[in-house]
Parts: sequence; structure tokens; C-alpha cells
Amino acid sequence: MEWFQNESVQIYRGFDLGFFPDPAYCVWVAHIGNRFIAFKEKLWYKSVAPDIAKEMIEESKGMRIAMTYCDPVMDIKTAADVRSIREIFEENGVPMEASINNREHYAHAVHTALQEEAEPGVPRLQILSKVPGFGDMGCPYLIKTIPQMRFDPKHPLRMADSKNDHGVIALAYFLISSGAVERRSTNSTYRLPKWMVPKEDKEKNKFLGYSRL
Amino acid sequence: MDDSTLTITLPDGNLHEMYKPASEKHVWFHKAPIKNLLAYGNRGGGKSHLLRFDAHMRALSVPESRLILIRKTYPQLLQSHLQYIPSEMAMLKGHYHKTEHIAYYPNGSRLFFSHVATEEDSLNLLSAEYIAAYFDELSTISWDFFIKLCASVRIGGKLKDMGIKGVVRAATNPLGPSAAEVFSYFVNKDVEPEDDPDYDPNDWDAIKIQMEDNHQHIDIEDYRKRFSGMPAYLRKAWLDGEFALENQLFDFKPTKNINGNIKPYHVINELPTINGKPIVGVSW
Repeated sequence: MEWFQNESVQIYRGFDLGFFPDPAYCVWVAHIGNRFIAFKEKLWYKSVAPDIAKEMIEESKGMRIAMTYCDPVMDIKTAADVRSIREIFEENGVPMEASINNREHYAHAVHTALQEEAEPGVPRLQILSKVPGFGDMGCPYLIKTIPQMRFDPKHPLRMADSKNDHGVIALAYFLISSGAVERRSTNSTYRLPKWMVPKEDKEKNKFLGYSRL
Repeated sequence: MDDSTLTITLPDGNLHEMYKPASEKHVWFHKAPIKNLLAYGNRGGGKSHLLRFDAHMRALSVPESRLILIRKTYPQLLQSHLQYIPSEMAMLKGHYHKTEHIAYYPNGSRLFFSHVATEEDSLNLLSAEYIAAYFDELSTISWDFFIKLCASVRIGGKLKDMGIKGVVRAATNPLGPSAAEVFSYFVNKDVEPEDDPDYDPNDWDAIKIQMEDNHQHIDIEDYRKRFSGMPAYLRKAWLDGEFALENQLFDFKPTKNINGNIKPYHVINELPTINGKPIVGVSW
């Protein structure tokens, strides 16, 4: 099984670390134009970083992942190991960028993406429900837990703590990132500027991740 | 409906209909054999009344049985069930002990009244054994306490030989700290095996009982007017009887009514396409 993606789509991952009883959670988001579509998720219980990294690569086979945004706690070096958890993921083939730990930002980013419309009747953020026949597509956990999130009555802008917030937080890691800020037309594919294309490659028109001139 | 009616003999020898279910839904609630059953809906549906009389009828049907009726706090019990219990027990030829908070029935059965505001309250009840536990306003009670207390519903000895089954009965407005779990376990039945490996959806059920089902007892139009000016989530729960979370953060709409058509909104069933091709897909 291998994934294919339209050339004008960028795929990002958001990852929230957990072990047990809280799961580790990863969401795959397709960014197209100014729309975000969460189309796949995976939860891990009692799994260690190298195993999760291996499965993330396997589950993303064929996709061109632009970046994975993660819990900043994963990038803290402790005395227990010379490597941080983020570095362990990186050593196992999953480069990550640490996001920000701020529950006000999470609330604002998700709220904005749900409320703004990319076009009339189409919100900027949509989530794919579980698709029969495609065992690993869809985000049922995220769909179930988004309505369960509450604001903190003492700090109304802040998302309150919840045992089911991993999906929303992983999604928010992406939404507050620079990846979500980018806008691109859905009808154009990304082309390297002329000055970046080596002369000898111009005729070959070889696909190396981008369409070339 | 007749066999769910509670009729007593008055001292003058005349029969008096002490309780008559307000609708077929109320009758269904009394007769359902399922282990865990919830009555939910808007305010004014007669759910607390239904719960208390289910307890009365069960206690009178099973001699020497122990039952418990729980609300979150004692003042809530005092303002609701305990207002009516002394007179009801007198009519049933039993009595209510004010200090012990126990209703004694003439056949030896006992109905305990308790509250679970704190962890300590719930621990006090854990060692007890009941044939039925009644939870009023369940969504206000901590879900962890509720699950622990459900373990106190067990049948042993001669009651087991008689084929009596332990049951949990609950009633609630769809609003409160446990509303999400109540909805998930009783109504939607979408508990994931990771969350609760022992969950069996066949053991859980719910029935929606609305104000309109209780037309014998209240003036519906007059009652509706009292919700004017309330916040949207309160009206949704108390007037429409829909599950609503207090302090809900996101306005999440799986579908939306656009020009009279219900269309997918935040939740989509298929991925968008560009030039007829899905933006992302799987090739085998």
C-alpha cells in the first residue's frame, strides 16, 4: 500500500507524545490553498519513540511530508540521556520541529480554523470521517474529542486540561506553525525558480519531489 | 400501562392510584430488562419522579432487597426526593428514617438515600451491596465515582437463585461535567476498547423523555417561557434535551444547514478532488 498526493497539496503531521494511559497521537493534515484537511490519524499506547517513528514512516509511505510539528517537551534534554526524544525520532527517520506549549494559542488556532471559511459553505478546517474500505483513513478520535474541549472558566481564552486533548493539541501544533500560514493556489504546482535548476537537468524533466521547468 | 401503575389500599378500603406512568416511554423505562438504563431529556419530563417510583416498585417486588438512590449533594436530595419520601412511605405502609436517610418498606426492603460529592463519599458506598442503584442528574456526578459505584450493584444468595438481576438506572438533563461520558456510554455507545476494554454496548441503553411526554403534570407552554434569555448551551440542554457541554470551547458542526440542505461542514465523508482526482489517496 502506498499513498499518492496531488502536487499542489502539502502534507504536514502534528504529533503529541504520550505513553499510558495517555496515548501518543499523530494527525496527518493536507494543506491545500487555504484549506486544512485532517485525513488520517494514529494512536499509540505503551510504545517507545523508535517504534512510533518506524510506524509513522510506514504509514506515510508515498507521501511527501513537508514537516512534522511536535510537543516542545520532546526537545528538552534531560540527564537521563544525551539525546532528546525529538532527536531519537530524527535518528529514526522522522525529522520534527518543536512547536509551542500554549493552550491559549491552541484554542485560538483551532477556533479560527473552524470558524473561517475558505469559500462560502466550506470551513478552512475539515476532518475526514472514517472511510469504510480504507482502514487507515479518517480521524474518528479527533472528531469525537473536538466537541469535548472546554475553556478554562478562570482563563476563558485558554483550553482547559482534558485527558482527551491529544488530537486537538497535535492538530494545533500544525495550525500555529509557519506551515499553516503559507497560501498557495490549488491550480498551480510548485516549480523551482529557473536559477535553481541545474543546466543538465533542464532537459531530463526528472521528478525529484517538485515539477521542474 | 396498567401493570406499571402503583395502586394502594386506603384505610377506608378504597383503592388509590398512587403512581401512574405519564407516557408509554415511562412504562418502557420501568419494564426494560437492560442492566444500565438512562432517561435523559429536557427539564420537566418527570425523570426524577420516574426514577423514585421505579425504586418503590422494585423494592416492593423483591422482599428484603437493598436499593440506593444517589444525587451529587445532600442539599439536592433534600430539595427533591426527600421532600416526598416521608409521605410516600406512609402511604406504602413503611416509614422513612430521617437520620439514617433510609426508607423502610413493609416487606423488609430498604431504599438508601446518599450523595457522592467527593471521593470519600464514593468510598463509603463501595463495600455495600444493592440490587439496584439509581442516579439522579447523573451528568452532574463525577464519571469515575459513578463507575466505581456501579460495582456495588451485585446479586448474591437467594436473590440470585430467584433470577433477580442487578440494575443501574439513571436520569439526567444532558448537561454537566460528565455529559460527554454519559452520552458516549448510554446514547452513542461509541466507547473505544482502548478507553474501556470491558464495555459491552448491549448492556447500556437510553430513552429520551421530554417535557412533552409529561403533559399530564405540567403546563408546557408556560414552562417554556421560563427559558427566555438563557445562554444557548443551557437552552439546548434544558429546553431541547440535547447533550451540551458547559464551557464548550469550539463551535464544531459536523453538518450545516445551507439553504435548506444539510451538508457536511466540519466533518467530510470524502476528500476533495482537483481535476477529478482526490487530493490524497491510496494506491495498492
